Amino acid sequence: MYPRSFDYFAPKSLGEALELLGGNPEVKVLAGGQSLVPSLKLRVLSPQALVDITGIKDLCYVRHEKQVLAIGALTTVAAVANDRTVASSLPVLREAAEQIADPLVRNRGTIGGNLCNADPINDLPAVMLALNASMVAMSRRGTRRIDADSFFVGAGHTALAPEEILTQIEIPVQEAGFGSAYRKVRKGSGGFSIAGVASCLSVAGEGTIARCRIAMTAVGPSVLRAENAERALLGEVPSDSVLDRVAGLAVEASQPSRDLTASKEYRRRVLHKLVKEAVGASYEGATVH
Amino acid sequence: MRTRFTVNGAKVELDVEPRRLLVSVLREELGLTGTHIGCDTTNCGACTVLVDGTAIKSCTMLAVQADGTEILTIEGLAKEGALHPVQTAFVEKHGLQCGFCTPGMVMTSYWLLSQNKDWDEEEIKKQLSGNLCRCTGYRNIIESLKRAKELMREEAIR
Amino acid sequence: MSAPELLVKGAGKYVDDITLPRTLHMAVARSPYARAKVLSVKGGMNAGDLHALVGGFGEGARGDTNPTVLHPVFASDTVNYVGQPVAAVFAADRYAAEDKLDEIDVEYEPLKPITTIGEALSAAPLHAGTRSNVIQQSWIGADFDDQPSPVMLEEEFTIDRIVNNPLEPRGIIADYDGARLTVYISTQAVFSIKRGLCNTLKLESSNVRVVQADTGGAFGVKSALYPEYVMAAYAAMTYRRPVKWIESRSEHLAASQPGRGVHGKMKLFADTDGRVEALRAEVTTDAGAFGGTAGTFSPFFIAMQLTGPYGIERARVQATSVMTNKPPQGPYRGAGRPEAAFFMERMMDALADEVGKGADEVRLVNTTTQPFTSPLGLEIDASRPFFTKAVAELNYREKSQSDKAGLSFFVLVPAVPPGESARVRVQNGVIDVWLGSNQHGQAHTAFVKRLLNEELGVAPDVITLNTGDSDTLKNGVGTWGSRSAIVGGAAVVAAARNVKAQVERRRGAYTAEALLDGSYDAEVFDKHSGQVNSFGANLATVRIDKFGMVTVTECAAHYDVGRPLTPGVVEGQIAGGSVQGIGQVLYEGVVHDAEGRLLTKDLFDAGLPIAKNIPEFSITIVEQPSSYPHRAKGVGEAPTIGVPPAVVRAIENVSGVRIRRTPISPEELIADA
Repeated sequence: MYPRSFDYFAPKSLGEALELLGGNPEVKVLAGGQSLVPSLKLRVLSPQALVDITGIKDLCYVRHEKQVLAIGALTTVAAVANDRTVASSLPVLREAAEQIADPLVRNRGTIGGNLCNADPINDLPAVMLALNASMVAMSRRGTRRIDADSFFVGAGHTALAPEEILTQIEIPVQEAGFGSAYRKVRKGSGGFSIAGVASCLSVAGEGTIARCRIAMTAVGPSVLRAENAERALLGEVPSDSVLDRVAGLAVEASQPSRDLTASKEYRRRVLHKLVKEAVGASYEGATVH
Repeated sequence: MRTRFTVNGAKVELDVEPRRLLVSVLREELGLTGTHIGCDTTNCGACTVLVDGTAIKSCTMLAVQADGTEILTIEGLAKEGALHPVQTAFVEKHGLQCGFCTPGMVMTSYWLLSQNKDWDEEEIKKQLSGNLCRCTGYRNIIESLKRAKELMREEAIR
Repeated sequence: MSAPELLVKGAGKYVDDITLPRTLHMAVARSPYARAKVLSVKGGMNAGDLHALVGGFGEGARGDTNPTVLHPVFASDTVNYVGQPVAAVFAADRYAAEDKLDEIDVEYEPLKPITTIGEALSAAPLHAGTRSNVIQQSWIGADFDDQPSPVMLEEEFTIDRIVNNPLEPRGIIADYDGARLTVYISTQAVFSIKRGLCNTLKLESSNVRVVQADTGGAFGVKSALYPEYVMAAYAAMTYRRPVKWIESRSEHLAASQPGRGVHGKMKLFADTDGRVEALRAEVTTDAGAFGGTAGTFSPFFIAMQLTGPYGIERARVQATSVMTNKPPQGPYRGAGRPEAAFFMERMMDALADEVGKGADEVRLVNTTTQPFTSPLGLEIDASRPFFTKAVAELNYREKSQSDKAGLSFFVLVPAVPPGESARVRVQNGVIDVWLGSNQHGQAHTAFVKRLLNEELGVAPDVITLNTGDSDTLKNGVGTWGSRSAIVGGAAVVAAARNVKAQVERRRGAYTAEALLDGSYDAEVFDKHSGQVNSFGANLATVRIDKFGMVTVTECAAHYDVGRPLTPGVVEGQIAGGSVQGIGQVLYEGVVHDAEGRLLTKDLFDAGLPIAKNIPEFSITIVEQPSSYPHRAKGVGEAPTIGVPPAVVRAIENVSGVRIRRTPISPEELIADA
């Protein structure tokens, strides 16, 4: 019900925060706390120390830069969901963000926190994979960019080293003909995702799919890409039979497990329908303009 | 750890253990027991307060994280004993039975109304998804929210 | 209970809002095993300090249970469910109290747990000194020879356990001054708690006072005596400091008494018109690891109601409560009534399908035109007039065609016995009222004011309904089973008439002014016991999406509430209860794995409905006055009785899948898609 004791630091600068992290795995970064604090309360996690980075200025923003849309890691999920640029150019991100948990949790949870938590049921990892985003990680030694394909390593694990902090998410600015969508299913009375699909694609002049990335939430030990499904879409117009085949390939790539909310078979069936919906919707988004 | 914030307009300075949740500090150190604890997994929303104008679950925030913020709790809504229109609406429309979820519902409603959006019922229901009620079946809570909007509009015109 | 105007400001005083100086917070160490031998317990307060058994108190519980199956306050040589209390620790700060749990060292030897009724019936008894895992078994209704009928239908149904989950978890403060124990508690029944504490701790009744704090919902879970209450009281007496225990939601999910958890085997013998000639049934509750709670006795109560609003002439039911390695079962809004209605209404629907008639036609054929006492002992008024009107009011025929609506018909049997007490005192121009029932959201204040206004001609604003307090009445029962307006109201009326007679004797004639001018006091225990069973019907429509997710689009109620004493409140009760009914069907259950570990660990898992789950409600009220002086009937549990079978039938109609169990998973609805 209540956390165990820990040491607490609230650095005012990134430099200070990075010093405090020092590579000690017993020291955890605290942002919005919407994943971490519940774990502390149930005493599932009892770290030695917390470094609260919410006092660091200038990590909350959504900025159009030349080649990327840059989002500060401390931007709340609510702010991401409500951002106009995100809404108009990245439906996959808005749709995922606005369905995370509930409005109150979204008011504090951060995009960085959701990505670093990297629970298979977190929605944003699939979105970043589908967008081919890069995560900017800072340490005392400097800055590096980790692309999404390398960032999500396993359940609850990212490629971040214990001494690194995620500071910025960079989403490539998309050219014309781009469409994206996030579709998910959760238990009717609320709770975590049973399955989710992020789809991003670009449509060529003739209406066929030139590029696409499909990533899946909650249907594997961690977030998964459906690469065979992506390949099957290239050069195609997504008719119902094409979508069926693509969805089938995505299901083959999934590794769903059984839990309280759903059996493996149900997850597969839900996933199949979600892939069709997400790809269909992103194609529509690409061709509507 | 020294922590300073404002609660319902009053400045507060406390020495709190970092592990203490904001809801515990509000209820125990500050005696503001209107904010309730209904669960331990951030589901129920009985602990909803506003921090810098935004509704959040005070059970999932450390009190030390509130340093430098302005907090509004249920006790801060009524002015000189007169109920805020949101509170009047809840009483009028039977938006409460046992009253335990009510402070959270009222604070979320207050926050929703402060955003001045024209939400339809579908959207209102979604915006209430972080607040659970076991007694009312939500119908009268939604009616209370709608009535509150009317009352606030009337007050603004006056 | 504080008035809504206070609650809406956060000015209520729930038990955790009460602070006494020098309070110790209690934290409870609990078994992680569903079944184990306890080899040793080191640390905290444990069975070595207090060896006592928790007997049956509160709604549905009775004293007559074999002590060998009673719940020990602290586990001694065995534990029998995950969450069973083993020891308690105390600290001035609640965070520190939780830390102290780390100091408790328990050595367990895990045993294979029993997690289903089937296993329980064939396995060796859980408790030494018993012959089997059957706690109680009885038969009601005269046996009959099974003559072959044109239609013989057999089905089995299961309703999963449901955790009550009021928004406020359980909580208690116990305070002992050396002579008297005073307890502040979130409860439905101060007198049940008082009797329980006196019995378990062998205390004199005059030395125990129980006061109801503002109570944030209960739905049946807060009338029983729990081991934690006894621990807190004992600790207060031992340490001479107030002891506060506030349950966490996790503890509520694991260790409070959940409701439902019933298996029904039904066999109907009928003719080709669907007229049921005989019923044979078996009702078995998954009563959990200990006896003495409502779960022990509820099968009999369910069995008694099985014929529902129908005139079935022959019936025989076997009622059995069975022990499993789960927390003991208790009442949950309806407490046996929803189960009985569910089993019979599902059979009526199956019967309709079997004989090829409408769901309303087959029910109509079984209604009665005269008052009827069933072979199981259930008394009902003539049910045909109500049902005929209900079908029309609910527009069932049309909605059955256009929206594949489901229909249900039921009788609500309020828990009237043994009556209720009320005290009315007039002094200094104001009237104070005390009731044996303890409201927690049902707005008793409103009906008390109305009844006193009607009986005594006094304005509502001179009347105060005071908080439940065992010091203020000689005796009392509690709030549950849709009883409060009926028996609480009857007691208020009786006390009011008593006071009125006093005025007449003293002043020659009665006027409200004469009343308020003087001092009068009347306490009565009203044993009014006239039959006050009422009918109700529900209609529901649903939509099912391609993921098998069900949306209940419409939920219509047609209920006889007698004379409604507080119309706005009645609607709120119906909406709230309907959403609980929907929760039972679509989302709520308690899931244990094969090791007996609880998998439904948070409110999402538990499946509490959220705002977007609610349907369009419509309510029509029938006002058939009851024989009670206030002419009201019960309503609180009606929606939890009528809504689930109506919703389930709608789901069957739309999906084509036969439903025999709640909650329904989306998966089973798209199995063939």
